[in-house]
Amino acid sequence: MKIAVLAKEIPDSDIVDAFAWAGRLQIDPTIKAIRREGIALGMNAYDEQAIEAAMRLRDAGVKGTISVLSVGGTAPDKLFQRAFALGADEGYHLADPAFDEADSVGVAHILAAAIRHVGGADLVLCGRQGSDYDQGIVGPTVAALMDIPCISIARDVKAVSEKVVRVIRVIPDGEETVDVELPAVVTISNELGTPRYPPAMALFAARRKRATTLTAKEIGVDPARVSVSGQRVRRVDMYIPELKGKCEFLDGGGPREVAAKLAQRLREDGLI
Amino acid sequence: MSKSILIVAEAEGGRLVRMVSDLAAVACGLVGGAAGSVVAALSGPPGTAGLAKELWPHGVSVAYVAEHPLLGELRPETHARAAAAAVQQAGPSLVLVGQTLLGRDMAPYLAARLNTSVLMNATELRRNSSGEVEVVCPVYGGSVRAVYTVSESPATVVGFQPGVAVRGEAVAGGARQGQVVSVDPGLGGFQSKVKLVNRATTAGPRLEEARVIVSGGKGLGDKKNYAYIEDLAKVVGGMPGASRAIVDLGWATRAQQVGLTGKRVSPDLYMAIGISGASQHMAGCSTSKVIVAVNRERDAVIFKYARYGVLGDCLEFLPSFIEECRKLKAG
Ligand SMILES: Cc1cc2nc3c(=O)[nH]c(=O)nc-3n(C[C@H](O)[C@H](O)[C@H](O)COP(=O)(O)OP(=O)(O)OC[C@H]3O[C@@H](n4cnc5c(N)ncnc54)[C@H](O)[C@@H]3O)c2cc1C
Repeated sequence: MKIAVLAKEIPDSDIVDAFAWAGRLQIDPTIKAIRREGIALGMNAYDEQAIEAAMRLRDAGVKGTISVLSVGGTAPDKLFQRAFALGADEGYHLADPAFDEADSVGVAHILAAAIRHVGGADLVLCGRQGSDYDQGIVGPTVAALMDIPCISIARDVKAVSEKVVRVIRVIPDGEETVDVELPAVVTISNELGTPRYPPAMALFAARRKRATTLTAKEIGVDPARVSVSGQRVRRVDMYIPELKGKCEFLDGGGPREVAAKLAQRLREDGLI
Repeated sequence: MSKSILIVAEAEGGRLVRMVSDLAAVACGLVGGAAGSVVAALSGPPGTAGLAKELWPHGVSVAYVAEHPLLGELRPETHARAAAAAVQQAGPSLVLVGQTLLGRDMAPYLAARLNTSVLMNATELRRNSSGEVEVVCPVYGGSVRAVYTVSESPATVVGFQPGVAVRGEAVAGGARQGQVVSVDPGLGGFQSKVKLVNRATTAGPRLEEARVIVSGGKGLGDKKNYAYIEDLAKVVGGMPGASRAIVDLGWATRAQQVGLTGKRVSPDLYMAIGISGASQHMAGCSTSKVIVAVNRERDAVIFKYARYGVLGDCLEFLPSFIEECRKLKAG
């Protein structure tokens, strides 16, 4: 079974959050994006879990290569090191000035073309969304472009045969189990659990592996097709919403007194 | 005449989903009540056309209905085909999709089929001073907002989060009869590759409908302390919720998770106990009427959202507070 995992480099969302509340987050007015100085970059956590999902299939006896594909980014070596350490066999870095203008749809076009170029995939895994723009577009769009099904927000993927996987999806108030014929795209959610910590050997070996860089021409994707979506949907502004914050702290005395005060206040407000 | 806005009217179990009226309200808001400008795509198993009349009171004038046995299953591959057929016939300037379980995947599928662009998580839709359509989307979990202008030719697909758009009600004067146009979903020869094995959902009251929610976070320190949250919720007649951090730890269930990737709730009272107030958590509860925060760090972001704050150890506070609430309720 050929498994392709789609991975994205993003700024650490916890740090972005902390910067925003500390008033330190800045927006670059020319590109309408956050300034990344001082913010660590790394693989989107959901994508790491997608690699872990692939590794669990391997643990269960599924044979075949696990390739990681990633578009652009500023520190691709770091991303691929991480991918190799987590267990990926091959890495493909899709890099071309023509990709600079790609939005999520454009990225999906690049990835679909790249998957084709590397010989196709039986199972395409990726995170349920990027923790930067939170859009969740890439997985389903790649599926639509390849004309295959997409099963989203999975917490478990098991092989039923070489041709079928059983996926447990997280749905509101429960779970759904589906059998899907391959090829298919499955997007992974955090309920899958934490990726394994790479053994020292794997970390060491990862350092010697390199990803293959591929351009628009090599994968045969039309640069115009890649950028047109981003031109139709243009980001014209980005801002940090202000929080007024007018919290009334209840104090005076110990926990008992404070508890009594709060209960009384909520009762007066008709809330309890 | 200006072009129409098409909303995707999802039906489940023979009923329109709640978000349909919200989408209609958003669309009506943008067209400013111009008659004949809001249309809908409705797809489902044979018999679905009967639901079209429920759209008229919301200001929808034409329903493009696709019926096919395969549309009984809520799969994006099939419903996107049906919606694409509707869009091709209606030729709208914008397509709005509600981000239900189906809509979330269907919107990008539909955009790919139509060879157009897509934006998800929209919270606002408006026309700017140059007449362009502007869409606001929270990004980075909600700590940042991005504003986009979107193409109306070809029509962009815009996904809306449940609960954040306008709460749609039937509009006065919108009750006149609309028109039903049947469309071919183009599913002849379509073979489904996905087989449902099992769907298990918990019955009972839903977090989204609770008037009072008491949520616990990592500040509880230990799984066993979540019992305080459950106790308190029971005493005040509410439901227990949780941050993702403790759902991941197994202290609470996934159905209790509030936030960006959990439930979107908007109760009258939301109590956040031992929760830091990360933007991804607040994305699910910041529209609550009154937020109460209990946290031992004065700098915790949660206090910026709170009306009332208690600074201190939640484990010291909770037993007393449960006791006080019990007394109030009894008295
Ligand atoms: C893409 C993405 C999606 C996410 N989706 C969600 C989501 O849907 N929902 C969600 O909740 N999170 C979500 N998160 C995670 C989110 O970023 C936070 O990590 C999470 O909300 C933190 O949970 P917490 O507040 O319980 O824990 P922490 O952030 O660890 O906060 C614990 C708080 O408890 C306080 N505390 C500690 N001890 C005590 C005590 N004894 N008494 C009182 N207070 C105490 C601390 O001061 C602190 O403020 C998401 C993250 C990402 C990247």
